[in-house]
Amino acid sequence: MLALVTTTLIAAAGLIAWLLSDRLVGQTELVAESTGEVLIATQQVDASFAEADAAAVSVHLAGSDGNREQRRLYELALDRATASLESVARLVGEDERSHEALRDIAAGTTRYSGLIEAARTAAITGSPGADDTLQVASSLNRDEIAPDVQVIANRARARFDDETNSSWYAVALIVLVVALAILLAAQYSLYRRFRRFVNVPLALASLVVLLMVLLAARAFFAQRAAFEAAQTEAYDAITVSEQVQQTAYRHRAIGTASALTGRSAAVELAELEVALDPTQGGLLERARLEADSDRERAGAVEVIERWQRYLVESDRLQAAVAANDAAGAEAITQGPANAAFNGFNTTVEAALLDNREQFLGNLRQAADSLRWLRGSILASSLLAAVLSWWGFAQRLGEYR
Amino acid sequence: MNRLSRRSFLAKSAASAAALALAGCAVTEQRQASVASTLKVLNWPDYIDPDLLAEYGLRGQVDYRDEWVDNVTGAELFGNGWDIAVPTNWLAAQYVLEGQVERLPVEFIPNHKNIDPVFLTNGWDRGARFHMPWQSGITGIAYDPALTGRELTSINDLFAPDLAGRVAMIGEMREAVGLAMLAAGDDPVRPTQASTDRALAELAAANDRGQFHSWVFDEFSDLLASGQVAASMAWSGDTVQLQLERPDIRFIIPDEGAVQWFDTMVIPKGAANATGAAEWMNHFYDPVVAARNTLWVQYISPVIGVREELERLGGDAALLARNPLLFPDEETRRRLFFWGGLDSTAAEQDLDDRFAAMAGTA
Repeated sequence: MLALVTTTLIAAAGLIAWLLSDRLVGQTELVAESTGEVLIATQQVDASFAEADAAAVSVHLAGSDGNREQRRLYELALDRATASLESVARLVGEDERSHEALRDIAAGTTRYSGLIEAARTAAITGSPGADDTLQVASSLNRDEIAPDVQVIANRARARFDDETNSSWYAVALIVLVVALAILLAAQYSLYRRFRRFVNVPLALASLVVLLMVLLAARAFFAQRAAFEAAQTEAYDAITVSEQVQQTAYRHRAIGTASALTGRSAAVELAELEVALDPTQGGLLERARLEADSDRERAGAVEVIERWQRYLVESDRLQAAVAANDAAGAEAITQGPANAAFNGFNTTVEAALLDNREQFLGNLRQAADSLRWLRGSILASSLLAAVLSWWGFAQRLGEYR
Repeated sequence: MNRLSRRSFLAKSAASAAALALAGCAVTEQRQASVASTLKVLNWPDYIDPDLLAEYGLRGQVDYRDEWVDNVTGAELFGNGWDIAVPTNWLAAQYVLEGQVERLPVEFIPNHKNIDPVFLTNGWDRGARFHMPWQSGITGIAYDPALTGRELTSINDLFAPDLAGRVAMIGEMREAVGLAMLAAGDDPVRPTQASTDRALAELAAANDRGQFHSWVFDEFSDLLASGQVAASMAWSGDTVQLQLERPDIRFIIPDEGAVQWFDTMVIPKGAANATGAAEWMNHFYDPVVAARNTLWVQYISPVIGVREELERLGGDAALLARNPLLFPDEETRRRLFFWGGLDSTAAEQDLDDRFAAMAGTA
């Protein structure tokens, strides 16, 4: 009777631990292959729209001459946004609210690109209303598309937090410890009844389960550590870099618009500059502090350097606007300011790409650390159950 | 088939070859602790000031070979332990996309910040994490006004009946097809099968009717200098050299635009001395060093601050700083286009093959 109960309990504990670990592994894989990717893709959508808008304003400023470089950047940014949206749609799963937001973004994107084209055509033909149409497009981007993107980002973030904070691993560990306790109790019981100190199969079963407890604990902690690293070493850095990029795009768009309208934007620009200022603990300094390797630190330092170069051109632009030098302002915007901003922007992108790879790499590592666990728990539990039955059978045989 | 040399040899040729050989010897004989092992660099011919190379030899042992051409095979590149190779931008793009090059150890390259932003926006490596441009040039049109009898302003001038049989073309697919695309209003930065087919058909039609004198590489400057052709597709750096002898030869960026290219340093996958490669890259991205090299090679430098340094040096250097072929203004820059590459390597290879068959450069 004791043999049957013990073996059944071991097998049941193994089965429960297997089910729990299976759920945990599935959840971890989901984070690595879906939720993490959605988070990244959503941020790319946001950044791509902001980049497209800054480039579109610049193209518009060039008027009938156009600016093929900026036009290309606009189109490529819009292509990137669309590709990222497709990734999000593929990965977001059954979340109806996210799909609703995606539909709104798709409709908004169509309207946005239509307005940009209308503004461009009007600018080329010299028709009235070109500037107003452009402003409407920018507002649509800022006030309708961006909030919808944020909805998806927030929901992905909530899912990410939920999926990475699972406590199933603790329950699975407890169940395995219970299985070990059952085996030890069975050993003790046999000792009491038959006065034989060691039953080899039962001892082996205990060892198997003990080993499994240790390995599972190690795997679970490795998973937690990988999640932690994804969060602290990569995701936080991504978030700060995204804020840097968004603030800089805003700065660029306002600066370019001021060249278009001839109105100084010095006050608004100064606020954004303070938000970024590395000497005043701004976002650029935070990005540098988030860097956790020499490579990343070097990247952050280059970002700061290129931002300073852009600011020199931005100041020249504002000086031209203040002096009512429309031609000078346009020349600076289209030329050195564009070039300096592109240099800054691509450097931020390179840093972001590194961080994104690190983030997704950490998530994959979390999934990899558990991948072997499912089968191992099931196999070791069955082995422990068989050894346990064998141990009892052996003792009963000796008794008879 | 690829271009044979980035620079015309002209007057400097013999001297430079000898100097380079000497520099190579000097370099390999010296060693310093800062670079642990020999740095192996494979570059285009005549692409570095021999004095600079010799000076670098004082820092560590360098095995510098000026034998690069864009048809170096993967086995030659990746099987011979090169730490730095200098493919043209389109080939570097293939290497990057195929994962054949190492990510740059930027922590050892603080001068990475000096890369001109124009080289940072390529879709295949935004921010230049895998490459650092060495030199850049423009493929436009050079002509002898005495022979053309008129100003040339457009790519279509290369196809004009009055110049039939008196136009030399460069046998570089991406540059010839790129120019023909620009003439048709297409964008070489984003070539498609349709737009490249159109451009190739246009070139083939002109070729068939005898519009072109020949398909050449750096020999175009000899043809122009000797008056065998009135106009030619031309590389900016070679034309700057030609203008030393023939200041009457003109180089234009056509109204439709021109093709810009650059040769760029990459670290092949598995390179033994990536740290040494980074040290080299950093050194040559110092504006003072880069300015000296620009003075010698006379192509567009990708290093921010070179122009100011040339101005500071004064004399011929300052004149060079004002040369629009080395330092194009913003309006001109907007009319320069990098070849963006077709969707697949196979499609690009097919285009390469068809072009070579048409031009007879296969």
